[in-house]
Amino acid sequence: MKTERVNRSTFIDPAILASLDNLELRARVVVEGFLAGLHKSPKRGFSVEFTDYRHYVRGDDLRHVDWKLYGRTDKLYIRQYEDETNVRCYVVLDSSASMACGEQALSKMDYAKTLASALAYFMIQQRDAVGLISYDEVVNDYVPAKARKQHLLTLLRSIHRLQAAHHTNSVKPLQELAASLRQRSQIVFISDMLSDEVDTIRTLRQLRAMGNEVIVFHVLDEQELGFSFNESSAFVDLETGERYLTTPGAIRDSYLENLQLYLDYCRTQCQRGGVDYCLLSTANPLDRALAAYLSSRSRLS
Amino acid sequence: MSFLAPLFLLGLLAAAIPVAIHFIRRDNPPTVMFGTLRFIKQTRRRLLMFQKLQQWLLLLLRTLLVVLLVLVFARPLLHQSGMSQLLAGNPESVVMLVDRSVTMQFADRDQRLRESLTDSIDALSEGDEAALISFAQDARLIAPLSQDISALRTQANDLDAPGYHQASLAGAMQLADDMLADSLHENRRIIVFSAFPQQTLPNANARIQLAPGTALELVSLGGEESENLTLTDVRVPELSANNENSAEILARVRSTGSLGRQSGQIALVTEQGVSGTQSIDLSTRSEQVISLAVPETISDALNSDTPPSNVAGRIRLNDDDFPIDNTWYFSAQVNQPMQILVVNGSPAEQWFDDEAHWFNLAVQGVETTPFDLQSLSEPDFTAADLTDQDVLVLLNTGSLNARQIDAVRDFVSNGGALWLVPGDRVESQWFNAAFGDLADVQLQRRVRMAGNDYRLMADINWRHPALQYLDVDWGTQFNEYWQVEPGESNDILMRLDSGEPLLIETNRMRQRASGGENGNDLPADGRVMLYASSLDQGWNNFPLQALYVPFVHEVLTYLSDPADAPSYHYVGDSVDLSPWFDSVTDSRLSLRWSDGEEVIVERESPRLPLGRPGLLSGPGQLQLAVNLRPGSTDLTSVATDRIYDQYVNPETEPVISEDVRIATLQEALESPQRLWWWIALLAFILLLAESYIANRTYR
Repeated sequence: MKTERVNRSTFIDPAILASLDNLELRARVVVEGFLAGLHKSPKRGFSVEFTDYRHYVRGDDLRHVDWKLYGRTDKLYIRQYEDETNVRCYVVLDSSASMACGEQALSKMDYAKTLASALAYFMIQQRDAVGLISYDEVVNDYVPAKARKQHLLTLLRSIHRLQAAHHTNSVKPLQELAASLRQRSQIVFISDMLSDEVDTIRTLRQLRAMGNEVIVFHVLDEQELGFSFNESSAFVDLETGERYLTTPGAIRDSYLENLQLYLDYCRTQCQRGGVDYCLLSTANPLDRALAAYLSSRSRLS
Repeated sequence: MSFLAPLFLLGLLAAAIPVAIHFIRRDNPPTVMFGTLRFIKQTRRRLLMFQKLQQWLLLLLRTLLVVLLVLVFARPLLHQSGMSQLLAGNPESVVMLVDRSVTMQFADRDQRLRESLTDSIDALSEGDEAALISFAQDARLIAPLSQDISALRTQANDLDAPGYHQASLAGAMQLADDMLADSLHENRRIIVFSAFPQQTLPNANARIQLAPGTALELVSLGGEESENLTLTDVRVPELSANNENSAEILARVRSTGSLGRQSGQIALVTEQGVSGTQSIDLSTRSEQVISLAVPETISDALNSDTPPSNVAGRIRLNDDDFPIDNTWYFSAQVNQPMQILVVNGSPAEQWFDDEAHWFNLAVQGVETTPFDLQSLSEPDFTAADLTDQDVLVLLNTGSLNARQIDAVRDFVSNGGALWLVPGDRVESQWFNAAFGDLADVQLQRRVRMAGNDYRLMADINWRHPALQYLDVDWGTQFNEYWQVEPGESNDILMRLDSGEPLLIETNRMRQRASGGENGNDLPADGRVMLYASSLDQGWNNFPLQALYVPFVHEVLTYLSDPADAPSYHYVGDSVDLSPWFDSVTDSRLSLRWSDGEEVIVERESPRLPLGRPGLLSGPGQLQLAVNLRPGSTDLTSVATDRIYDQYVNPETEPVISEDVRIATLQEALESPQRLWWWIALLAFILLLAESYIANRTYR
């Protein structure tokens, strides 16, 4: 209880976050708040590191000449850094119709978008290259991974444009991503995984097996998790449009039982394949997601 | 089924409300956009079915609840058998009165009554209610008001034969009227089956009127031609043993048939045979008194050494159309002289000094005296003298010895009567020791009035049997008397004007009750009186008063308590036979009518109702003569319109409208059913069930 209260006071409630219209601002609020909570972390300052010098050859960018060394030695040396895009991160964002679910302040889509934005912001801050793949039945948008600060705007714009629609097909974009990856990358998969979770997880595990760091943010609406409806209602499947009239109270136990089986399956399958799994309710603060991301990222560096 | 407030049934439309709500909600449920239905659809089928069932059950309960509430307000009424005819037709409540008096024994009257009664019962329609009452001297309810006509028919068939009582219609009318007051229907009718003899006309005191609107139907079964002579009264003279008897029996004969019979024969029948047959001639008068001489055989028996204590017989008329009333039974008691023993405390040669002079004169100085007097002086008095005595009078006796006193006490305890008259020779201390507890009286002191002063008699208990005939002014002046202190058990019969008791009777019952443990040892049975002054001229001038002789006679008669049995009883009387149980040890008394029929009377209920005429003989001298009540066999009938006028109320009730009648009837029928209570209870249970299921069911 105490932890809960601390969390509530320290981290930003998604409901408050929802009131922020600007995705960038949202992302910044989330990340800054998160970083403020990490002020003594040993992770601070990992970044692009100096590695070596080499002789200047023509055509090198004069900005990388070490002028202080030149003063001492009268020779031009180029400061060599570790690759500034040493971590490539791809945020794979599900924008299928089921992501629109959520009566609360934040729909799953909103939540996922905020999460993706925050991650992008955070990564750009870390000078990691961030790419974005959004998909439903097909890949909607593909933003290649870059580390420049201006790239953030591209990402945010792309995220902002996303609308939840259509059926889901998670396997295809992931397979395409796997085919396009040339180096070890971090793959952040944000989805509700409500359809075809078996194939999806299998593909994710393949990605992991290829040496990539894979983290799954399994986003589910609070109502989906708790099924706390009272009135007899017609439930409409957002993807198929199917209607189903039922009394929630009567089937609640059965629903939760089924849901738990499904969640257990997702979690164990991910864990067995070395895929990081993080179940997120739209009522959870995003910080938890960021912390999970960091732990995954640290393994990669 | 019908309803008291059918308009409320419109409320049944409200039953559509829950149904409508159900369907509206089913058609337009709130929509929830949901990520996936897969977990929802995986729920168990049985659960869903059960849920559906609960929903339907709830709908049913709610609809039913509305329906029941509407029914409660509509006040339903179940139609029982015949109720529809009841509501449709004009049913009536009928009380049938059937005459069971002696006149119904005449000719075929009873047969015709049964036929008429059956016809009337058959004429009843379904829904009618009827009751049956028989009447003679009293009214007897045979079948209360009921719609069960077949039961009534059975009871009518089992009707008793007519008895020997006279007819009295007023009581039965009253009973019928009372019953109809609570009847189911507004239409009320009384049917009377009778020959309507004269007695059925109510006398002025017993006049009743039926409730307004009650119809009276009189089925007259009389009116036949009949010739009948009736003995309406027979006077048997007082018969005394060893005495001159005026030996004539008077019989009053009247013609009570519809045709005046004018002649016949009358005779006296005794054990010794028929005697004194005489002719009757009613040609010039309506009734005739016939003198019948007591046969010499009876006179001789009375004057013999062992006179009979009872003379029984009957007066007989020759046969006519109705022989039941042709015999008059009598059982005359033969009076024995009362035995009086006077113990004179101060006898004297000179009459004016003799204490008992005036008393003896009063007892024996009349022409025919019912007393047998024996006078003794104090020393001569022994226990043997008390044998066969009825009353012992102690006149101024003040020196009886212990044995004599014991004899007196024994005499009283064996039922003998004692009259104490203390005078100047009596010492109060001696008297109180000798008779104080016996009479429950203490002599205090002698009071002698100063000079010419005197006291008068005042406050006399006129209702006392000894004094009831002496209700005249008493001018007696008392110069001297005993001041006495009566015990609580005493009745003061006379007081002086100073309030002091003069004549005291010891109440034996009360004395026993207050005697506590020793109460049983106290002398009992005999009557004891104390007169607190003298019965000669010594202390007062009473012997010179005109009342002196009757006073002495009445007091002695009362004290000796002669058995006083009437020579006959009437049918319908009841006789107390408890004195006869004193002489037998059995708990039951067996009596026998002259025709051999036996009657058993139990000690616990010693009163015997006399239901028929005849001579009833029991153990010892017990002999009861029972006769029909005079006039009860009058065969003439009263015109029915006179009866009608006497009973029917001239006021009529306003006729209520059919609607009001049905509404009132329905209300009366509904109230005992009270279906709405049960429906309300059911609705309440349903409400509870609805709450329970609704709480368990998810909306």
